[in-house]
Amino acid sequence: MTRTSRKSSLHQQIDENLKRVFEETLQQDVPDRFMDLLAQLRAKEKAGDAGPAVPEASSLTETTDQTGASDAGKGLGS
Amino acid sequence: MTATEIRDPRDELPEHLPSLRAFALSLTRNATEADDLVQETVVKAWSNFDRFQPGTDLRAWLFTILRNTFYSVRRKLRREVSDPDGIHAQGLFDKPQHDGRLAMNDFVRAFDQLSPEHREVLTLVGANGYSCEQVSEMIGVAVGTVKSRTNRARQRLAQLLQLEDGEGLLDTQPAEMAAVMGRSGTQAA
Repeated sequence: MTRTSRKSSLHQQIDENLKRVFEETLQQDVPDRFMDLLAQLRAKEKAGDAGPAVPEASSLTETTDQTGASDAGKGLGS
Repeated sequence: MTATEIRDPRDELPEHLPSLRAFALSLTRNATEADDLVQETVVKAWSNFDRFQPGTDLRAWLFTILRNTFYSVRRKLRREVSDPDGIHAQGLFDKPQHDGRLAMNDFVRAFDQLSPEHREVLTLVGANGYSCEQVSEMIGVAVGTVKSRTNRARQRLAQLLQLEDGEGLLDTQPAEMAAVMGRSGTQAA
C-alpha cells in the first residue's frame, strides 16, 4: 500500500491490468486443432525423413490418427 | 548427447501455445483471427526451426514470427479496406465509469482502442516483462523507438481511461477512496 514512487503508480496499475488481460487468455484451454496440427507436422516431417516410400504420408491430411503416425515414424528417423 | 540439455524446439513448442494465443489475441482482438494467426505461426515456425538458435528464447522467436505474420497480413488487407486505423471506432468509446480504480471492462475496452503497434509493445513490455532491448530485437525497431512507443501507448491508455499520473487506486481522493473501500472489501488488499 505504501508505494513511494507516485509517478509509477498509474504505470503499475496499467501493467497489472495488462498482465491480467494476458493471463486470462493464458488460462484458456488450447483448442484441439493445435495439437492436431502439431501431430500432422510431426508426421509429415517423419514421413519426409524416411523418404517417399512411406505410404501413409499422403493420407495423413485426411485421417487424424496422430498418435499412431508419430509413433510409427520414431524408429525411422535415425 | 551433450552434457547441457538443449531441448528440441519442436518438443518445447506446445508449452508456448497459450502465450502465442494470448499474444495473437492482443494484436487481433478477435478470437477466430487470433487462432488462425497462431496456426500460421506454428506452421511457419515448424518449417524454419533450422534457423532457430538452440538455447535462445524460443517464445521470443515465436512471438517475432507471429507479429511479422500479423503485420504482413494486415498490410495486404490495408490495400483492400479503408479506415486502416479503425479511426471511426474511437468515436464509439464512451467515458468510463470513474470510481477511482481501473475497472476491468473499461480497461479492456480502452485497450481495444489502441493501435496494434501500441497493444504489441504494451503486451510485450507490460504484460510479459520483456525489456525494451529484447522487444527491439523481436520487432526490429530501435530501442529508443520501443521506449517512446511504450510510453505513448501507456499515455494513450491512461487518456482513454481518463486517468492521469498520480491518479488511480492508490491516490484517490479520501472521500472517493472511502467510497471504494466501503463498496467492496476485496479492494482492501
